[in-house]
Amino acid sequence: MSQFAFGQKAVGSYLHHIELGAISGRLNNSIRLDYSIQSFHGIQLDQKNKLGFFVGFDSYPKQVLMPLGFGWRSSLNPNRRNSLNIGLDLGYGSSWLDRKEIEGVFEKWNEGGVMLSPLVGIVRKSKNGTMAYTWNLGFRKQFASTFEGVRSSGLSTIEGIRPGYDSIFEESYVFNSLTLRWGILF
Amino acid sequence: MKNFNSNSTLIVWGIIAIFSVTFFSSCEDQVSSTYTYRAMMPVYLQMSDFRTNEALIEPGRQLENPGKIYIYGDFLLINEPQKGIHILDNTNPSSPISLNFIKIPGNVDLAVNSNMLYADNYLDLLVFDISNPRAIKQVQRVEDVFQNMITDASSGTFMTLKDTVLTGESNFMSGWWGGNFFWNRGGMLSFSNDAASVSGGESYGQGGSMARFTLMNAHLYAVDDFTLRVFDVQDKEMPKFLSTINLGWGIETIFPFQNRLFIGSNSGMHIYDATEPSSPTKMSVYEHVTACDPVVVNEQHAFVTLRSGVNCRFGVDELQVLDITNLYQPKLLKSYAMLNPHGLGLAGDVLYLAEGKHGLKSFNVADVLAIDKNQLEYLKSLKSVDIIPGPKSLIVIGPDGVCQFDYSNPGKLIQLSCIDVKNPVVV
Repeated sequence: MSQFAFGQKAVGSYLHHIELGAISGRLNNSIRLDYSIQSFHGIQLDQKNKLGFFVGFDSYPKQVLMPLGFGWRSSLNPNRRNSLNIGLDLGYGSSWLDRKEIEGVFEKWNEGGVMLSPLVGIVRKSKNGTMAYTWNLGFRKQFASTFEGVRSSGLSTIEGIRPGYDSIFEESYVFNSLTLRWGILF
Repeated sequence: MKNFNSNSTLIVWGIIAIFSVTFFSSCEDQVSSTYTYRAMMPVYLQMSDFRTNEALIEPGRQLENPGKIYIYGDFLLINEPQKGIHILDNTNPSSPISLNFIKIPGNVDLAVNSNMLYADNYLDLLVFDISNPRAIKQVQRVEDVFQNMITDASSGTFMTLKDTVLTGESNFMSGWWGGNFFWNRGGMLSFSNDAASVSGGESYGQGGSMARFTLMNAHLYAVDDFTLRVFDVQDKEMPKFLSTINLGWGIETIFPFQNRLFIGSNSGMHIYDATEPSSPTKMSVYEHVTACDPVVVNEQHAFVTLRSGVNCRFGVDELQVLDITNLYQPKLLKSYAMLNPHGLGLAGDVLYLAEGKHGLKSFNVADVLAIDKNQLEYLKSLKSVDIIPGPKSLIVIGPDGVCQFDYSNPGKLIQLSCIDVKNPVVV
């Protein structure tokens, strides 16, 4: 069997991995379930390893974040048709998608944060070897926050509150999620 | 080969299953939710506490949050709301020197009459001899004259309001009660809006109850939220409390001019005749929409700014010119659209207008019907909330501090100095 059987990409070649699936965790003592989409663009570093960058959408309660960053994938048994895959995504979940809402003196906005996601899954190559299907299970740690503020006017600032606001409602989150995604690698 | 593949698939699914069980049971999100808001908190104080000691004179210190500014000869007196009064030597407006700080808890306003400084101290009116501002002496305390605060004479306590920052914390995400893709936003909105309504105090630099002082014809007039109090200060060391006049709600400014008192409130401008200084009588009320409105006056005209803002809801942003030749019937002559006008200063025919974060404008107002055509200068970068035309300099109070300008050429302001403040005003 050749080294690159079952559609194994040549070292140095470009690859694209699109995934979609669910992201879930426990919040306020109940289960949250939302969607997660990710697009990974990378190169085949060597027989086992791929390195690239990713961009995606993760939906959380109150906000949709756009994770951006670098990802690493490693195939543990690249010569098999079904191979065990591990990986790590490291980046920033950005809230660029969410516009600051302003209604008079009331303001509402979101801020993203660091994202870390180790994953494990299987890659099943197609018969003709041009592409592969993936099932990935990941753990995803995402820092984020949401703010709701009432702007002050005519009052001087006072210590202990963000300048410019009479009230600030701030929630910061560490979302510890499980992601389960199905994808196509080509 | 095929066998091996099935085995590895099995292993993978095994791992996935173990991961799932582990994570679904332990993937708990961490939420820390903090609600921080400023509010007027009632504070109960013992009358004996603030009355036992004379006001302390301390060395000059940094301005934190300047309130009313009073020009007294070569000196500037700057109120630090609820805390006391800064005395600055302003002989050279290019470099004012901080001399003293008179520590007066509960102080919100001041006035000076022939070397006597009048300042409120919670319920009492204090009199200081400032003939030598470097050696200030407290000469009198007139007790129980500002009894708008809740007092309990039997226990000797009274209640005042303190501008306070409160914090509430929780480990739950608000407005999210499970489910997916959907969440409730209305609950949070109303929560935050409630907070907006608890923060009191509109005027610049104010915290808690407002008192505004002015002196005319040897009488001290003090307005607070809804009353006008009259003191006889002919015996300048011994003010006598004469009477209280109810004005209605939302009083902001008092401007004395030629035996008249022009009192600006949220809903209009009150004109009082103080020809008989001990008993001012109402001449008229010029009503307008609810807005925040400083007033300045000359012989024929009153200039009123109306602005929109947090506590000036439904407001409009404009400068109104009133004909006040007949004080019993002030007439609106013309309104000019402005951006967000705050304080005003009138020096001869030149009107300086603080546009908040939009800067500072100056106009020649000799022709009151064409003010918009006679704009002298528009300093967009000079954020300002109030303006005092002094004998030596034009004092501009802005978010970054108290600045002085040479205005000998009214069309071209030249900056002389700026005193930085610790807690800048937000405009």
